[in-house]
Amino acid sequence: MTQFLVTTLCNAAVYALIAVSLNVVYRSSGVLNFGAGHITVIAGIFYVNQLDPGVIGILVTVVAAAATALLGYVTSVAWGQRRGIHHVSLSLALLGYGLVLDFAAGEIWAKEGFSAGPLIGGSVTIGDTTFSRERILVVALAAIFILGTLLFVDRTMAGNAIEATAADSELATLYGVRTDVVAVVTWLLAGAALGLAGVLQASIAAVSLTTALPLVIFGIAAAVVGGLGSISKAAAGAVAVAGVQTAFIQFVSPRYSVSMVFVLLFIVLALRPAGLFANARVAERV
Amino acid sequence: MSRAFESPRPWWQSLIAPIVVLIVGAVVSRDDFWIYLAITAAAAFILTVSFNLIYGYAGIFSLAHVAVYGIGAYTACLVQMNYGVPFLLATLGSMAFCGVASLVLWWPTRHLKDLFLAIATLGFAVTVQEILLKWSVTGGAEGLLGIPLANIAGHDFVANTMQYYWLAAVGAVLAFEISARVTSSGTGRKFIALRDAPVALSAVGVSPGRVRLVAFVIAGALAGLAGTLFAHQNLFIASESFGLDRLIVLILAVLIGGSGTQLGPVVGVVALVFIDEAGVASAGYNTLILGGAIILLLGYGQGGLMGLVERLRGLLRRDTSARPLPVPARTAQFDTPHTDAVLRVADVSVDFGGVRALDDVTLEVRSGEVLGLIGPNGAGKTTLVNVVTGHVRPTAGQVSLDGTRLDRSRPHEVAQRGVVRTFQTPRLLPDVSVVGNVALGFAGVARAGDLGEIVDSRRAREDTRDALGRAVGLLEALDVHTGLTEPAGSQPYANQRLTEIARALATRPAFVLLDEPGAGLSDHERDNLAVIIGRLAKAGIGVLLIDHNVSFVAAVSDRIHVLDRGQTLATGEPAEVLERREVVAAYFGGDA
Amino acid sequence: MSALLEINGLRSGYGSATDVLHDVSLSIEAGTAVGVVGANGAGKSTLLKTLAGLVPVRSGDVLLEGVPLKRERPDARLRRGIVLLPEGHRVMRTLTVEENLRLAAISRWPGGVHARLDEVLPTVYELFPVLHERRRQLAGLLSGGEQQMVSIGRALVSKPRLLLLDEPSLGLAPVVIDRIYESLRMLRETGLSLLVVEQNLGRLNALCDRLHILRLGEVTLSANGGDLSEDAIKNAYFGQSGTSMTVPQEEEE
Repeated sequence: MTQFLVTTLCNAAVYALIAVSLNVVYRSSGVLNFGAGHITVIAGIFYVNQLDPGVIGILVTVVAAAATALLGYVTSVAWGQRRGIHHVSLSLALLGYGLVLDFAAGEIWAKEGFSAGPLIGGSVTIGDTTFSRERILVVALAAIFILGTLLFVDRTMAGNAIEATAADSELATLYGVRTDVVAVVTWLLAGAALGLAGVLQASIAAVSLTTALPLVIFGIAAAVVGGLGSISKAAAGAVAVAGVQTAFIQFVSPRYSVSMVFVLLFIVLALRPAGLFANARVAERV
Repeated sequence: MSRAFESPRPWWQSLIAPIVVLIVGAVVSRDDFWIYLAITAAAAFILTVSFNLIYGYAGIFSLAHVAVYGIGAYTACLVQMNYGVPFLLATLGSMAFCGVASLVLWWPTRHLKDLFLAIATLGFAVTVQEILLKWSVTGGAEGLLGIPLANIAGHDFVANTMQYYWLAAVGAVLAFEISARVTSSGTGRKFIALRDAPVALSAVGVSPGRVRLVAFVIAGALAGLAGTLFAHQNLFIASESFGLDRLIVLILAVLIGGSGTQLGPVVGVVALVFIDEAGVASAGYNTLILGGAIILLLGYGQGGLMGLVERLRGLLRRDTSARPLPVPARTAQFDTPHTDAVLRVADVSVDFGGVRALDDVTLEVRSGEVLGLIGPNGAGKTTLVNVVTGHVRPTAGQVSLDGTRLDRSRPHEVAQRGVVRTFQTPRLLPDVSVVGNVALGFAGVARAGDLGEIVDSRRAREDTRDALGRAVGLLEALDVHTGLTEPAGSQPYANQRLTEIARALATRPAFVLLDEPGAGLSDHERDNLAVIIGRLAKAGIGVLLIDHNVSFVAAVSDRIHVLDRGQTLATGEPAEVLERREVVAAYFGGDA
Repeated sequence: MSALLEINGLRSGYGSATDVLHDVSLSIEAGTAVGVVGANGAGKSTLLKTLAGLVPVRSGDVLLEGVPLKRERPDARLRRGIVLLPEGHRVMRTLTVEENLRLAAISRWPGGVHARLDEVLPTVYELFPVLHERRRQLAGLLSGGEQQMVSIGRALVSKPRLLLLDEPSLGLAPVVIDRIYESLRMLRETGLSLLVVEQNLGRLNALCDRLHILRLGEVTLSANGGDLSEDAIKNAYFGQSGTSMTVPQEEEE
């Protein structure tokens, strides 16, 4: 049981970070970053190959990922947004960006799976199960980052500016908010989340270019199940997705882990597209 | 601008595909490599045409299309290999199965908005890929080997030979014909409406969900055909062929050619084959090229090569005289099959997250009368209309038509029952001609059945001519004489309003709800509108008129209902209501 | 005294659609209140949005103290002193009253937020004591009138020279409207210039030094406040002589 929980939480940590990143971008730019999986995976590959495990390594990776995400915004989204290009088209353009990153990563590093060395050694015993401290650290790091993001958006004035721009960008400009600066900060933040996700994924399992697309699907599933756009509910959605997935792998079959996440996603979209944890509101159509 | 709305298919259109196919056949027959390219192009063409239908015309971001293509390939092969089903039957069966798979894809997503649809379909695609990769039945990681040759009536069609080319060519001609018929039929017009203004569809009584269904199934079946031909050409298939890369290339093909055009796929396929071959040659750079191209075309581009051609054509066209009308006008009838009907709003309240937009409002409109609805800004007038037409669900109260409840129905159902509306800003298809927009209003009353409409049967074409003729008549009756064949988006505001009203009238409604039709009109135009509203009422149509121009409303209405801050302030004859202090105060402000 | 704001032959519209404003000319002297009335569709909101930088100018010019305003965005216009309060008493509903005011401060003075707030908050809370009471409440939960006060408050934080108000009385109860207009009058007396757009004539007549009637994108009548007769207003407003509406005798100001 504890094993199940730990596995779930570790996976949820990664999915939650990706979901938070997707939600932050979705709320402010209205697009879904289909290239998020690629950024995550490449951040992980970069971390494994170029840096030593540790605080410095994580920080450098996070910064690099932030820059990569910002570059994606600038090249693929910013222009189209101003010209009113459909947000789904721009979301797909980000997928194209992911492919470009895929190519670059393939050239720089080999096209194989990479696993990171442990961030922290040792193990902990609870009850009759023993598991590595690494796993706890992974969950803790993700939790800290997500909490930090929530506090930032909720409590700080800069965060309020981001929140305001996301809620009503026209009114925000009337308040004098520099919405272009806000966009930059938003995408940097989103990229940072993906960078950390890549590091964690490399630490608990492995990262490779072939897992980019499944990872973004898991992240999207977590975001949608929680309620697309809500940062706080993304974590809940991630735990739900990871939990169902782990259960499926352990008790049914380990082979179709992606498919079953999709089935879950499909069911949620069909029955409660606003997310499992959404509040009931007055129905409004059109 | 889309011609589908006003010109019937030219008679020679059905000859294009066979001629092209014959010419290509003659040219490539010398060289094996050319034959291989031609066969690949033919199969790719079918796939591109099918994607152009669902994405280019209907605007549906189905990222699962390549997965359906894969399902088609595997199904055809597996039933032949495991059950000995003959090739033709297997092909048809595979197409049917793809249609069913598309239904499965469509049903849970039918009301989802674009982004969620894209997510759902992407998930479907990734799932199908995983299943193809891991299921023993589909050959697992090794894929499916030893696919039998296509065999019809005992004759083998060996891959990479001219014989196979002709087989694939037949498929391509079939696909082109189907696509051409669909896109110039009523179904094609509904696709375009679905893409450009789905609200317009429900406004004329057509269910957007149903149009999506048709798009999914047709495109899916054609994708299945493409998959079958592909499989019997390569004699080996694996899950990699049906993954993200293929999807990207497909999207590129449609975009480069120009989505939503008939010739687009032709151009696109040429590009697609070129990319494929270039990809093989440049090995690793494939991903870079695909990624870069996607960014350029989706993030920056509009319209592809065919779009460029259209723009050039537009620039070169010096002749500014109006294009001739497609059909002669038929006199418009404003009569309605409904008489003595009553539209009743009873004790309706609407809460929008803490704000009471409507508070216990009751009113009634009868056939043949004009009820004016006035009130200061923010009074809730448009909200009331939204409640009647099903765009907003009331928190309390009911809306009924002759006793049958309306407030539980979806917007297109309300329109079908005979209650239609116009919008504060006209919701027209901007790239379709004025007369084409109005003709959309007849979509709900066509005589040809669904299937007939899809294949553009003779009866369907008669319906189209009929609709166009009546559309012209309606427009002339509303005093719109110029620009009928111009794109609606380019017309003056007043004409756009009248076009929308004409479209609403085309459905022969019992009740018409006009939401600020006078805004932006000159005095003369508004006077004309008043005359028209009078004629509607005389013909037996019930009219609910919202407008800010109080004297206009007063002159035209039999009764007036005044709303202020969501509540009924007064109701009765215009002269009497407008004398009341509260009404005047609501508009002009008064002392506290 | 040269005009604070001068508008000449202004033509503007949305996207690629037809013009909404055809040829608008008016001027605002510093320290005065100017009112614009008109029916819906006349272009009142469009006029304010054009001045605020939300809608591009197609032809004509807008001069702020003799200097033409270029293609600036709303946040840049704000730094020049032009602040728009959009219709519907829009505020940042997910932020508290305090946070709304702070947002306006940080946007303009990212370095000196606290200094600015120390300077201006007392004025705001003195003008609207209820805001001080409710300063930690989410703006979305306030009443319409209170939200309008927040809107005015955050505009004041931005140190405006010209306030553009789009139908400030919309959807509010008469008593609340009184309060709002009283505060506007006080602000005008401190030297702030106002451009107020309404469908509701009565208050404007009392507040404004100058009135313009806008119809179908053009100014059809201009007069000093209080000078216009009821008939003249109705004619210019509705565009037809002899309407069926009568107005009860108004008490003289």
